[in-house]
Amino acid sequence: MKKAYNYILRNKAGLNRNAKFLFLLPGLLGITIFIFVPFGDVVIRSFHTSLTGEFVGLNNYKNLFQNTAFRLAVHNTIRFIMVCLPLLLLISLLLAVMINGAPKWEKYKDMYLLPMAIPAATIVLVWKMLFEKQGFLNKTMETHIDFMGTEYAFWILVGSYLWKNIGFTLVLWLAGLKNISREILEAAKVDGATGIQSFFCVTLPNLKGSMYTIVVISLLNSFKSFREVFLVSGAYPQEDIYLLQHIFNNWFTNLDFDKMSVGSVLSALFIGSLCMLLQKLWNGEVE
Amino acid sequence: MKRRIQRFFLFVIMIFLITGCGLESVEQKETALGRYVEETVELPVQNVTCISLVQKDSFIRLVDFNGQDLVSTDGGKSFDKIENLSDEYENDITPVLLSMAENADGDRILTTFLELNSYTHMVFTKNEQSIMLDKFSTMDFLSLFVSRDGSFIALQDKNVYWIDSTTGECQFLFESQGYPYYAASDEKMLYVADESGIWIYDLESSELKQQDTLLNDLTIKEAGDFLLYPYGEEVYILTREGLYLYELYSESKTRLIDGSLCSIGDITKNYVGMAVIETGNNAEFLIYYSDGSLLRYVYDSTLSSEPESVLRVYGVYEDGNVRQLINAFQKEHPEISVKYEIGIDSDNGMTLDDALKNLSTEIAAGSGPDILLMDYLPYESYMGKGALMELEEIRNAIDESEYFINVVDGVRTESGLYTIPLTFTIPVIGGDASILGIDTLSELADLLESERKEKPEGSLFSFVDAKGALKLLSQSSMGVWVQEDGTLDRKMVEDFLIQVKRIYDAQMAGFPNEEPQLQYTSWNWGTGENLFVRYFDSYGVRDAAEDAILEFPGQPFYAGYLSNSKDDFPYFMGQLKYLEEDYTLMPGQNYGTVLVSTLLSICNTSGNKEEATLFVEYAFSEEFQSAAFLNGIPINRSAHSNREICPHDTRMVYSMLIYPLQEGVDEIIEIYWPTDLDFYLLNAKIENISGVNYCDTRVYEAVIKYGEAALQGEISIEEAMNTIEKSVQLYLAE
Repeated sequence: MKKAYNYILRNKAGLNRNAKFLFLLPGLLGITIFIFVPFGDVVIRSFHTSLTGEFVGLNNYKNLFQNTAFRLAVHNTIRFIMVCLPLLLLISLLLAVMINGAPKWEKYKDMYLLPMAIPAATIVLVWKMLFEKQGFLNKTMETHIDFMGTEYAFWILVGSYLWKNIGFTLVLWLAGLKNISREILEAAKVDGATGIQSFFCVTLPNLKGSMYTIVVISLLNSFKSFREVFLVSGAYPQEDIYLLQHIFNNWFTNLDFDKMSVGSVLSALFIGSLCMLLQKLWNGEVE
Repeated sequence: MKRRIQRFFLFVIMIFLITGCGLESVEQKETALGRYVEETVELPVQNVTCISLVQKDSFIRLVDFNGQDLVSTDGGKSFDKIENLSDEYENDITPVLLSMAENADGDRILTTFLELNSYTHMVFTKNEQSIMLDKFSTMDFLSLFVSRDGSFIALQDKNVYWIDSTTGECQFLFESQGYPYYAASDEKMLYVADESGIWIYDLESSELKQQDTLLNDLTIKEAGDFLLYPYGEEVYILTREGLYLYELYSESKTRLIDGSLCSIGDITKNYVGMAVIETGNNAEFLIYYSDGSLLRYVYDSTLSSEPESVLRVYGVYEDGNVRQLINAFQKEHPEISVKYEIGIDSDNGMTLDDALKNLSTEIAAGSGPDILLMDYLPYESYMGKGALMELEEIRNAIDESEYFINVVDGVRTESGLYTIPLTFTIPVIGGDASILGIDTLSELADLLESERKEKPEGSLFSFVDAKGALKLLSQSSMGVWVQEDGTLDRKMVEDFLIQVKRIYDAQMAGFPNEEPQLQYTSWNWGTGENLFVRYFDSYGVRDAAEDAILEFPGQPFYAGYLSNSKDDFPYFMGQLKYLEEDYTLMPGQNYGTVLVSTLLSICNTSGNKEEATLFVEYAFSEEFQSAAFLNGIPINRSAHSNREICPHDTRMVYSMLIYPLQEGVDEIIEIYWPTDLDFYLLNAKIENISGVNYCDTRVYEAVIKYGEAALQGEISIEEAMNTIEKSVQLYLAE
């Protein structure tokens, strides 16, 4: 036993050097097998026809840019993100700051996550009860509007996204706020800073680290709204809520694997670039 | 060095993990030998269907209702015809014979109806002795079965009785929980099936035994479509999945014959009776089917236990035509096993999108099916992506005079022929002479509007609501709604809606308020649902004519599809002759076209293209299409012509339709076999077919959905058109 202990002590430096790779290995293996290798296959497929496998160069890319359905889906997805993301970040931050100052609300932290725990099928049922022609909203307002078939559908989707994600984002903000040292805030107060000044000059800069994570997670969550739309309106919903996932889903059904591959490559590039850009911004490398 | 070795191994493991493969076993799996094969037993009498098959050791009897039994003394290898009815028997039975059973010795038991609440139940022994069963005299109908020891089992209400075949001695056995409908027994054990399960009765100890879970599950799952053959403590179970040997109260049953490889799995043939012949090693089986065929199952030890290759056929929904095709093909090619995979059935609760996604995954992974049934699949997309094999070679190999080549070529696109329909139907309209010469919807609308002026009350045409009108008239129009470049033809769809609205308004202006009991609500294809029922959700012209006679007497016009010349056509012609009217092709935007069904394609990624080609070729052969009871008119011309041959020497009464037209008085319509002229005129219509009426499902559904709202006046036709265009433009743009 003593010998073994001495051996470990003698080789401690070497173990430290290699241990990190050993701990990383399972995760790396998983990512390689389930993400990098399939993605590599998708990249290759994007230059070939879907089933016959003929090499077509950039033809698939060219066809995709000419595809009006794809352009509409990209437009709707970007519009959705541009509307939802700022709203989500602002509302949840505001609520987090308010709750942070009122400790009695903090004990209900778990409840804020409740919307995330509700299955999509249940949300869909509620949507239908609320927004169908014979639904609760129409009965209350004595109207006969097909909310999911008109431009209202987009705002219903935005509302649903915010309702589902605000709680979770709020908890993330709260965690960030808890990490800000009380001494700094008190020092600012002693220096005569008002509440608003200390929020913008002390709290917000200290939340920069959390903000990056929250933005990326919220961005990725925005793509999950597809489930509800699909369950309510099927593969071809009202055109304002026709998102990228709809077109991917339909392409898959119709064996359009070539278009789907190109779409996936472009989406991955876009999201990847966006995340890198955000990271650089947050790190202060880009002024 | 050690570290390098560790790294090397780590690298090798990673590579194996990434590529997802281990060392493939070079050991060849030894193929087990031995399998049951199906043989037809030649019977001395043709076109006679017996009511039961009974057995006593190697003596087998096929019981004929009229006493002309067929018997075999050599274990079912050959049969002789015998007459075994006594004069007394023939004198005693009244024309109203309700139920009858006969054992292998020739003893009979029967139930006859005398008058209300009065029945006679008698045993006629083989020695020409008749015994009246007084015990049952006030009881009504008895379900009768034969035990293998020769005694009879009678089921009456919930009671089960045993009856001695020679003395008529009767013994009450037990009362079941539900209403029993089937019994099977040997000298030791009796099995009685009711809706709750199977009751097991020990005849030796005269006591009910504990129920068996597996047998109970069987009755629920098979819903009466099974046979049992008691065999001591074991029982042979015959279901659509195959023939099994099961030891009572055990956990599993042994499959002896795979039902999908022979007639056992053929849903068009009901089981009548079964016999087991002991041969030493492997027993032989005789199964008698409702179509009059007696098939023998013999073990062949030289065949491999599993067929050499497996062909996978995929359809989104169950199709009766395909089910028959697979059974016939398997019998013809026992070396090929055919697996029928159904995307959506009552068990899996899948949606069409789910089913299509699963199929796409399989195709993308290179493990797709070999044969695709294109009826619900996105044909254009699959063809465009190269998922389907070109069938030009099969098309060129066939003799054009042998097929309705105008229909085959109707599904050809600019890029070639990738699917061939197995059957088709013709949308037709019946009525007085005013319908002749009408081929457009606007002319039909004019006709109905003028008819409405003359007849302000009552039904004019074969639909009762907006959706019905759209679905009915789309049968001869929908093929022109999408242009060649893949875009929606707004003008054609708009014109369709305008004309159908005129027709709908004319019909509804004087339509009776009470809800009618129309034929289509209870229409059942019998051999499985297919495209016409699911896709069009409307009914055939035979039912449309029946509604015009029965439900809406005086309705001047009726329309629907003519699906099967063997059955529909004689009835429809009989109805037309009764009404003294005529029929012609249904007017529409795509006038002169037919609806195709059971569209077979070969998947381009199939690893069994040779077998798949063989399957498709067999599907279109006269041999199969003549023998099968297909939904629709067979694409094989000879098979269609064979249906024109009258089954009788003279064109006698084919059937009768009894309609309660007046209170207490039934109208009887005698249906005669159609004349040569009738067939000639039908064939002339088929020969003039210019193509097929096919429309993408999503476009079709959008037109029906929003068209319905327009017809009902909820939205204008302009609004409906905008919505249709909007809803399909994404789909078409993708």
